[in-house]
Amino acid sequence: MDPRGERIAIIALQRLGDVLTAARITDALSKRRSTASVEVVHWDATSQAAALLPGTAARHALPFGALRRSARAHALAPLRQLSQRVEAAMGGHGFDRVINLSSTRFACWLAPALVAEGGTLHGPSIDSLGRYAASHPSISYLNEWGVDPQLNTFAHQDLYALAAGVRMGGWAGLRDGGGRRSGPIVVHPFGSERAKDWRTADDWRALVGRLGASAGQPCILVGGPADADALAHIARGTDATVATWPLAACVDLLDEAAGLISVDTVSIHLAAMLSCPTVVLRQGPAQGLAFVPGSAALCVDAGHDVATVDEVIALAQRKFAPSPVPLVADASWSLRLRVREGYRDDHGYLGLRTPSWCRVGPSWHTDDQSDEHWRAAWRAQFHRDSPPAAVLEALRDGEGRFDPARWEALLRTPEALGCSARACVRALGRAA
Amino acid sequence: MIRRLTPLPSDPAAVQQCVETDAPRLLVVAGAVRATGPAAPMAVAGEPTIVWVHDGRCEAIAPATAILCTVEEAIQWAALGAPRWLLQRRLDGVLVQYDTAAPAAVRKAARALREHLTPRSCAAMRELAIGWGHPGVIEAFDRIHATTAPTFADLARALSRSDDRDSARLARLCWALEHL
Repeated sequence: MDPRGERIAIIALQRLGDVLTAARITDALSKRRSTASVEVVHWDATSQAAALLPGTAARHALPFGALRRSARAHALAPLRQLSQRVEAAMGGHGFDRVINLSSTRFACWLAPALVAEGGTLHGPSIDSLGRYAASHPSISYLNEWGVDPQLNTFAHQDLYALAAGVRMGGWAGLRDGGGRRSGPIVVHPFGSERAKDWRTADDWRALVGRLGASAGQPCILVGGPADADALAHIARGTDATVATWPLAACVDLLDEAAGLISVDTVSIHLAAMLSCPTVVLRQGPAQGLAFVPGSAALCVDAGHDVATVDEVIALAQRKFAPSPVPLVADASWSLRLRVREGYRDDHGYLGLRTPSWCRVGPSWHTDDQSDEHWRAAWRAQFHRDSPPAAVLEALRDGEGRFDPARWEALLRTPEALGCSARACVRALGRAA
Repeated sequence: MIRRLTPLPSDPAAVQQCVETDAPRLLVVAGAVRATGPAAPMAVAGEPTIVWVHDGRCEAIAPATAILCTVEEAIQWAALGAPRWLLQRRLDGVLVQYDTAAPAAVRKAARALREHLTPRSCAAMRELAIGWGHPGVIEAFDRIHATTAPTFADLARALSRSDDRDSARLARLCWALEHL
């Protein structure tokens, strides 16, 4: 090991938003006395996000597109290129600590190749026999329940941070204090997947037109350069302006913005790191607790229909107002949507709960309690404790909407918590 | 949890670097002059070379960095051998492409050139490995008995049969690429 300390690699081989969620980890690790340097391995297409990560001494971009293209010629071309890139990143010795924040098979195969002799690996990986390996119970959980919006009760970024040995709460974000929130309302309509989109361009136009009028200043439509034409189409006939800026410029914009309305995009993660109030319109694969950006987010999950323009305006006005205002909306929305705000619990984990100003039936609060109970049970497992029998019985008898599915899944899981659940069932059977 | 790798947006800030040339008089830049014929245009670092076969009517849709090649040139290269600079680039990959609406003569010439430039056998891949100069990879090809061009999986298995630590690392990279 370097006498100055550990050389640490953070593998963030996902999309822009996922790369940004590594910020808490790079910041925390770079401040440790035992750390010589924190370096990020990322795809070249996410260079802008990697450049925003605090505390990084170097960034190693792997060429995603070029590797894919050269693989069409023959196997040696991408192998030679990847090998050269990896060797350049390793610098002859390799990394004393590798933290893999990506669960793709590519990253799980790559991660152990970066570890120096005697070094350690945190996060998911695949061993030389092709078996999935987890460095921590939180990664085992991630593997089993991580993407299912019904089963999972943790934000992915918390599970990776836990496996990396980084404290959950207490991170101030990209900028201390936050901005003055006197800027415009920022709107990010297009994500990376069409399945996550909200309504039509005409609805977006109606939204930015009316929201701008009510806020007294025009909205700013943001997106990637490829979205410029579609954004201009939305802005037509309104006072909204279009900004297809680099991510670094969006930091200043969101630091001052009154709020952000967005589908599941990189902007929601950037806003979370700047404590910018956000209304996240989530549908399709974006729902669930895995992708909660932060405690400043109000997540509006579509049920059998997505939120209307009126409902989004009402929720945005409620969320962005400096002082509380009543929620002016047709009460029928609670039948079609699930509105929850992000929060960090007493242990620093991100969760979602029904806002106190939301007048809804008791079932929503029951669901929130269910999430808390399940998080508590798994938290004990992550710290290698066994939850008390009373907690397991509460999980079994839970009346939340996903409790039966979670209990069934728990009985099948090989983890210690699953063993405890099965023992609980057997004990209750004997007692009966 | 194994998440599906989804397509990444292209990075507009990324700057393509032009390196490795043995004919500095030609410069390949998007929208500017594109080379034709046997001269060696610049290669884009890390990118495979794209040879675009055409009959003079559909050049406009060729990728900006592609090397334009007429049907006659393609036939000549396939029959008599491609230029030295193009053969040298086979290690980084050469892709022969053409317009999907091109006439049969173009498609036929392009396929012939592709057969000539793309390694289709283990022996041809081994030759490329010699060009790379990595002893572990060359040895690995000696252990592969495939009748077609070896895949990442073939190469990974062959590499992992070596005791060499570097070969084991390369095997891991092969498995990673198998799942890219």
